[in-house]
Amino acid sequence: MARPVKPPTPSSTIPSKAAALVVLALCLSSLGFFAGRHSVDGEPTLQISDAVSNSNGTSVVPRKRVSETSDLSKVTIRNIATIPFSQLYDILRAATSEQRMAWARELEQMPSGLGQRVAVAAYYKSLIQVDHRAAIEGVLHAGNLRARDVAIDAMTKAAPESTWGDLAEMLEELPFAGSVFGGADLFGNWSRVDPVAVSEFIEKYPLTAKQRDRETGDDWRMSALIRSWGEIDPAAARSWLEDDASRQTQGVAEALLTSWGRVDRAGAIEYAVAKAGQPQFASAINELVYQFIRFAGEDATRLLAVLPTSQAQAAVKNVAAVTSPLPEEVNGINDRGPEYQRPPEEVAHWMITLPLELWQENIGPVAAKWMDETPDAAKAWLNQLPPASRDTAIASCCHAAVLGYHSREPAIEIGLTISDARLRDAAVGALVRRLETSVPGAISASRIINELSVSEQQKAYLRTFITGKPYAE
Amino acid sequence: MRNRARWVAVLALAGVTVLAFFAGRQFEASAQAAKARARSTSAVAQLPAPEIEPPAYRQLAVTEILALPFWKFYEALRSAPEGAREKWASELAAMPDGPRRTAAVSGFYKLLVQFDPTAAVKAIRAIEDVKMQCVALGAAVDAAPGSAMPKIAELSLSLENATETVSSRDYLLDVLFAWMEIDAGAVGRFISQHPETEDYLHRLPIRQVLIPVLTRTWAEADPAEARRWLKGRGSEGEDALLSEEFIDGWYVSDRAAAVAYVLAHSGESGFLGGVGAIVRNLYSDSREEAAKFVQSLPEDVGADALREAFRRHPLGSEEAGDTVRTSRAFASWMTTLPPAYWQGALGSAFFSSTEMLQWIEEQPLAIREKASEEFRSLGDSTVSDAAAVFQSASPDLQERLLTAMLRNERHAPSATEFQKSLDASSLSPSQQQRLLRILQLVSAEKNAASSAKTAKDFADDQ
Repeated sequence: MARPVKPPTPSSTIPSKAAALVVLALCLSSLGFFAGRHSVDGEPTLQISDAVSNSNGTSVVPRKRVSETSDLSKVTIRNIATIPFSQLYDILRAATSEQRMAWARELEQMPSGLGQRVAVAAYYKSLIQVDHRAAIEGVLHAGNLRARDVAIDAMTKAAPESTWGDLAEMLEELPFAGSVFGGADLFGNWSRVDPVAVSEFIEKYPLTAKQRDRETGDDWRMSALIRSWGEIDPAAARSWLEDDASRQTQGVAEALLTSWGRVDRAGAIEYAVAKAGQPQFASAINELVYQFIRFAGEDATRLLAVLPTSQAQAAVKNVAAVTSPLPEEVNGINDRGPEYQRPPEEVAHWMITLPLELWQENIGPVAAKWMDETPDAAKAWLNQLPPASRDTAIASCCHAAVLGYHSREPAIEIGLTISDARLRDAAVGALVRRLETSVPGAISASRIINELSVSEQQKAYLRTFITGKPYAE
Repeated sequence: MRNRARWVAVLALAGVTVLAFFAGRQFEASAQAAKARARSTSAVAQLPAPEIEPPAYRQLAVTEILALPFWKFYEALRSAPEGAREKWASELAAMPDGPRRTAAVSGFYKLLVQFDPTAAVKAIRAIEDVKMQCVALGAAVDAAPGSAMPKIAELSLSLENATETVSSRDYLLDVLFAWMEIDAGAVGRFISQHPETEDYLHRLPIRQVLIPVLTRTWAEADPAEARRWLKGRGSEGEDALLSEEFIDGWYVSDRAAAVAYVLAHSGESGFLGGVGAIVRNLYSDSREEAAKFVQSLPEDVGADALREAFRRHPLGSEEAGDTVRTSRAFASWMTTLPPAYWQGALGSAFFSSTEMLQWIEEQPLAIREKASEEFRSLGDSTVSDAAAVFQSASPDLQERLLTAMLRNERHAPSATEFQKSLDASSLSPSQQQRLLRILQLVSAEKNAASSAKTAKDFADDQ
């Protein structure tokens, strides 16, 4: 017989329930407390040790971001660049110098490649702003030259304006400085804000002959300096150059005249005239003339009027060469920037206003290029010139075609319209003979003549330059 | 009634748990903050005393930025409200042109772009003086963090027409180069989403290097994504997949796959750059592996690959701290391979005839004899290189080197030109005669070869 279950009496069940509840409450509160602690993210006190990993390719981003990233293999050291500067600033500022050096060494030990480049760049880009001396120390003691060069490039870009001098000194102290490419920006930027300091630096650390440009003897730092100084204070820049003749090299002379010309055209013209005849200033004067054409055509004319004829001719020849470069020279012109080269119609209009001896040999390439681009407009312009000027300009076009400036067929066609018979024979004859020698065999020259859009009579005239038989009308 | 008591108990337990959870959070946060304070205090204690209290932004004039310690300006700018930043920007615009303004503008925007790129972009866009705008844009381009790159690229692109009238700097190009290091895929997408960038990139030869460099960088970061993007660019992209840039990058991200792929396609036309890239990278990592790879190639491809390896990536120098990627080291390694691989390629390792000459003289006899056949003039003038040969080599070796040098000349000088150079040289009459005799022999040899080729071509045509 089953024993009847005795119902619990209130006096025995209530304390045991309460005890169970208390135990349960204690357990739950402990669990809740620890869950609460673990729910706090470590990010608010981000440490660089979280941000910069060792060379195992582990995370460099804050823990929170890592945990949010499903594929850890994609979270690499390069992500240090995604840490906001304000966070890196606080971390780096709070770190000891030993710690900063340790981080620098740690970055050097990373496997070489993209991840290292990005991490090194991000680190030094920030450190140069927080403590530029620490950044310089890091670079000076770097053992990994490739990583070091990345660091120098990053530092040069982000450096506060007051640190240029120290960075330049650093470049002088670097072991194996031959591999550094970041110097040009540094001297360019420094010269914009303190050219006198740059000039003193250059005097203190002269380049050896081997370090200068092999062809021109230029010191690239001087060119960078004068390019800015000539705009800021041309008189001071000139005075510094003239203190030592060895400073007046071709590139530096060009930097002075063109920068001066940007802020004081009259002063630059006067100085150019004074220096005309000095070989190292020849290309500088040419460049100044071209710069005036770009920004102030009337000053180009004014300068040419006061230059010795030979220098003026050379300058106009340079204008033609820049406006209408030979195919093999196109890249050199293009590398000077998209706005550098002026349209041929603009240059032709300006050139024809010069004295005949300056344009007669130079207008050809310019007009020839114009004819290649918009033939009708170019021909209309040539046809409206006074007869003598027109003949000379068209003869110049034919000569340019001989030299390979543009296609020869249009030049032959327009050459036939030269009114002066002797000039026409000379100009067109040279062009047809060039056809004969530049294409394989006279048959090809004849074919070209046959295909020209000119009358049969004119074709017969042209053929005489191939056969040598006199033309009989 | 009993149910009600049960619910009360459950609610009380839940309440306790929630309270405990938040208490735990609070405790942990306080503990972390205390730790951070301790660390920060110990570090800050080492900083100069004035740094402890950053100045209020109202105390600073932006025009004095150059004279200020960086931290002062940084702290002030960081704590300043937007209105104060705008006020500083207008103060800058009011400064007279000159070095002080350049320094202030550059410093201001370099900093602003790092913690508020949106404000920096807005302020730069609003600058009316294009010269000052260029200084500000240049500073932003240089200092922009990765997250700001898209905005700065957009800004550079939109201001291009204005900035190119006063500055020769290519701002957009500079941003894209810096950005691709951080996120090459984003640069690829930027180019795809801004078709005008394609025109911009094709306008100047100097800009045309961007796509090859992007190809390399992207292949280094994510070759599969890079491949997909390149395939979407039509034939230009298909060519890029075979390029040395793609292989270069792929090698870094997945060496085994890149090497296997190149080996499988090494005989295909247009792929030589890729083969050269593998040789170059393997050589830098492991010369044994590089030798194995070259010997796995057909002999003619192997020689071309060696010639190609450093054609566009100049070898380093010991002066620059490099002892592996030097002409001498590369040439010495090449000659560990059978001569069929390096004959015709050895000269490509050197940039100076003198260095090549010195290296040849140091080689053991067997290598020296073969290597001397590769000697060529790499300087400005054949005659001056001949003078170096006369000075340093033994008579027997001189004959070999001079013959090889004249034989390997791509554009043989005419007898008249050669005589002119001899007249202007410091060579003795006997040396000149000897050189002329060798030139005549080599010319006769070349003429005979040329005649034989013409006769063969004629016979083939018939």
